[in-house]
Amino acid sequence: MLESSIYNVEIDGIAVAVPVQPIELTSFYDIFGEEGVSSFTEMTGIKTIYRARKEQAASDFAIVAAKKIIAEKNINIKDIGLLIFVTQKPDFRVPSTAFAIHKALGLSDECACFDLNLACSGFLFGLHCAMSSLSCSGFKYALVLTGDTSVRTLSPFDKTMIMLFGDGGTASLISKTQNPTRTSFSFKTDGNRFKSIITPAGAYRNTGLPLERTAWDDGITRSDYDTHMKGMEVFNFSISDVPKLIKSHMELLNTTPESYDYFALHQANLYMLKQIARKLKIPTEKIPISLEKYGNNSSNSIPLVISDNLAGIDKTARFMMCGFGAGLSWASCDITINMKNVFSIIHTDEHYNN
Amino acid sequence: MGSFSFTDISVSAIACAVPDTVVSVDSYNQKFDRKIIERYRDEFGINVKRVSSVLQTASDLACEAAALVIGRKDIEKEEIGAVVFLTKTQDYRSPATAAVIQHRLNLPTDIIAYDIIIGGSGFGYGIQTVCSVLSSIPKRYALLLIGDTNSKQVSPMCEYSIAAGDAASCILLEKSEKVDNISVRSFSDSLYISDIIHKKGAFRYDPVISESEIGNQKACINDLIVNPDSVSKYASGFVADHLKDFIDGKNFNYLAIQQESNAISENLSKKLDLDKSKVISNIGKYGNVSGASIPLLICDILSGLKGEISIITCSFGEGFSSSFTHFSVNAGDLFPVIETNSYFQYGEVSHKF
Repeated sequence: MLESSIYNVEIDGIAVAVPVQPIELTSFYDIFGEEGVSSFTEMTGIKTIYRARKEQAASDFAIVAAKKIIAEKNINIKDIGLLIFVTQKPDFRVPSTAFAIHKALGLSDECACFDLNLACSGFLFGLHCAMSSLSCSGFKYALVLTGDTSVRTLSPFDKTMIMLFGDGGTASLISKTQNPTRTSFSFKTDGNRFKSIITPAGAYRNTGLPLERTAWDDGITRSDYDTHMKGMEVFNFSISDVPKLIKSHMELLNTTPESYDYFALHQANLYMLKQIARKLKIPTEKIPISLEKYGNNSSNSIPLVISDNLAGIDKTARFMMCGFGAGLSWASCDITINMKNVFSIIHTDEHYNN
Repeated sequence: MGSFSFTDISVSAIACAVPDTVVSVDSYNQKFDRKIIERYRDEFGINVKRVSSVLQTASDLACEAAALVIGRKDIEKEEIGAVVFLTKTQDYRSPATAAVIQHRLNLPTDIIAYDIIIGGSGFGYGIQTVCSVLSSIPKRYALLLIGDTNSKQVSPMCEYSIAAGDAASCILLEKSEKVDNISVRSFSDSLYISDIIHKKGAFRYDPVISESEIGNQKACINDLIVNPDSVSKYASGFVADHLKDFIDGKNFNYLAIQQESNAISENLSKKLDLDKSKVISNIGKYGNVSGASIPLLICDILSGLKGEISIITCSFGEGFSSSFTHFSVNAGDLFPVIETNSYFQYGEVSHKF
């Protein structure tokens, strides 16, 4: 475990935007059958997901969320020195989508911006990148945005994936503070298991593969341009490596589950979350859940589950966060957030074609 | 992100790798008009460049460069706490290529690894980001890898393909006792986002690209579209003004300008009244290799020198974005450019897992 502590920088706002129309998983009965869908819901806890409209990109949700924060916090955008957009569904191959967001938000030419490419662990790696950069800069604020429209690389015939992922975007405002804060991160990366969750084609290796979807050995029809997950490998990773990291992190910090108000965990799958809770002896009421309404929302998951369950409550809460996914890549974070700075989820069909 | 000054981190070594296939600008004479060829040769200054094979990616080149640095510097891998890969030509849509690099280099799993999607201005952006990360972790080293296979991103029907070369680099950043080792300044100007853009193949649904937007580059519509005149204007205006401020009061031995074109470098030198002997160039040998341009220039021209040298870098590219750095490095830690045709055979992934 690699630990990193950052002082006097905090999350000063969280906003989340998702599509307008929910899709009930019961609408998949025609494709996967009532029994197949029901068993999927029982295992994952997912009943509805929200899907972006055809003209909406991941950045559209992040922009809406960022505008909300800028307005609510009434900050001078000239004080924002960094914008990081964590995504695997960029608007363009070049440049980073962060530049389009920079333009949409009217940020200053002194505000550095770039996309950070990670999946479900991305929020915490992006948060650490922003916090460490802000600490070394003369600026007051940084923005960490996340966004994904996972459906764009999913086979509609892949039951294990197409009903799992929802779309959306988030914005977190990071600010310097005079308060004596400590945010502690722990990180792990294991590229030896890079094939466990992979979208093999569409970038610059594995070029020229056929676009047509065919039946694979597991009986599911997909192409190499679709995201594929090795279920058992990912399950074992989620219920062994992930709790092990959280446990090690708590031991390092000399904390226990009682030390935290909430555990904001990547919303991978309800059964996995229950296993993690059981292994770490975390009371289930300390683990907020958003899977039922929003599914697995990739890098959006952690801000989304906080906003969905805890927006605006009158409390300063201590969190243990944990994100985990493709790479394989996983991270945890001990952080305190004033919940009055967490805003309710916005539903939007806005899109920014410019 | 404004100004950075890292007082406890130094550039410890730089290595670069290029494909072993050399392509001459003159080889494009069957495809493009003679005047176009002459422009890229005379105004841009490109004679030859390196082009990767179908199977070779930017990360293959970056791994070669990183392996050289780790070996020559006799690095204890357990002391490496971050590997950040700056690229716009990743191996896969997911996972991040940096995770695969962690595996290929046999780096510890206690590590931060991700990709940052940026091209031309990457050197300064990468230095400021990775130095910030290294400042916050209890490790001695971080690897900043920068690389692209630009030849795969520009349509062969587009004249800018003449300039597009492939390369990657590894910059070893190390905690040190020196004082005021690295300073960085960076900028983003998103008003010109459409002047270097590759819309197709990403996830903004069905992008509508107008005739006026692409001008005479219709053949390039599915690939990277570059407006060289706009880049030149940005470099001679915004970049020149801010580079002048950055250089002011700094002592340096060499100035490494993004190898976009000789005309841009000469214009910048003239505008800033720079000592020409300090301005290094190698675009004639490698073309435009985007993010790896600065480290490739430094290794190509300055490896083999002796003693501590002070360098100012000026990089710029899509967005638009620009960044400047000032640092010193032991010339003996700048390694000669590697030529390679190697690639990651285990990287070929399909449903036949």
